[in-house]
Amino acid sequence: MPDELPEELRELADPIIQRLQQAFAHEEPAIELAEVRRRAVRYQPPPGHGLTAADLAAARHREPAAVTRVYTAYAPALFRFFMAAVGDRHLAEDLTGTVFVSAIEGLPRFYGPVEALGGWLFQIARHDLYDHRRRQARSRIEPLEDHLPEAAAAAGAADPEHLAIERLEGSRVLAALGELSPDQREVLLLRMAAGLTAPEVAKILGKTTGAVKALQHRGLASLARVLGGLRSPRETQKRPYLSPDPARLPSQEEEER
Amino acid sequence: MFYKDNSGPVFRALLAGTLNRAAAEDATAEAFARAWADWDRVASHPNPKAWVLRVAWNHYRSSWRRWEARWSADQQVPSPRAAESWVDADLVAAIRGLPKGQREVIVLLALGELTPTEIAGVLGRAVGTIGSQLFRARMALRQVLEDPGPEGRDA
Repeated sequence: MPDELPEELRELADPIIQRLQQAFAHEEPAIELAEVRRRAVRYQPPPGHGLTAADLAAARHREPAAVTRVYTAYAPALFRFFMAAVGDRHLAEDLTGTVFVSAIEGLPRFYGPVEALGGWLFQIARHDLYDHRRRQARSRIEPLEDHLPEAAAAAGAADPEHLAIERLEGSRVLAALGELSPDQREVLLLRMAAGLTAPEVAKILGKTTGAVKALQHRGLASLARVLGGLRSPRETQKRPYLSPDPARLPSQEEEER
Repeated sequence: MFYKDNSGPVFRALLAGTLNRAAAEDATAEAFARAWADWDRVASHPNPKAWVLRVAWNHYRSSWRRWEARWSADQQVPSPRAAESWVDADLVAAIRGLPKGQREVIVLLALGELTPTEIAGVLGRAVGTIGSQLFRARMALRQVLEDPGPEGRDA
């Protein structure tokens, strides 16, 4: 009789499969809908989320709606990146805007696929940041510490996946970032604050993905050491969703679609 | 309602696949939260449940296990399994013994209620691979569960 069943149903008629189903039949998730809603509100999609090749093509021709979509898809990540790097909200906003001005001008010469857009924008961002730092070094602007709490709040930006920044004293996190090597700091800024994938960061920095992961690993380890307390197993078990997402692969966002 | 209708299969597949209740709940909550946040996309997806399962699976793979491993390596966290008592302990032991790829495939079929084609999409593997992993998983489970072994099956 089972032979007459379509192949898929035949598999479900397998006693092993049925035993598996019985063993777990009574299991229900103990998750309140309110918890799902709370996470939904806090969820920040990865940069570039929802942007299509058509959007990019239209943005190249400076169609306002498409340019707005590109802006919306990347501005939060760029802002977090600058905020974590310079620690001043107004300056971070200015720098974010500057990137888009350059991007709109440069887009007609950007031939990559839409997946490469983020890397390209952050290359501009990084360049602008260096420019800014050169100017700052010349004019000796006010010390970073004045802005640290605000900076850290924005850098953590209610994103459950980005380090455990938000539950820590902000100033400590940024101060700790300052103690890392420039390489490690840059990788952490791009991975954690901007939310780019390891291969994207690798491309921007001209390193291999393995090198980026190693820097990230060492950077996080130093960060944890500086911050202490971060490595409490009880905390981790209680709030697993605070974990960063260091292993997100480039294909993952694609897979989620 | 989408959550009410689908959270059971999603959670059960994750639970059987991970054998870690906290991780399965975390991944389930996270995946439905993302579906909620991105509902337009999910609603237009041909199979929203498969979408959610894929997000849940990736979330588990990318965040939880890696961090759990890191913490437990450093801190000797007591394994959450120890406290768990399963209805069918023999079966759970048999699933635990399966290679990861086979385990994923069989729980997505039996508990996630997905077809092999859908499973291929969720795990990012070829349909043919899914078919052979499914076959091997069933063979392995059958061998463990139906062969009473040298000590025999008592009572």
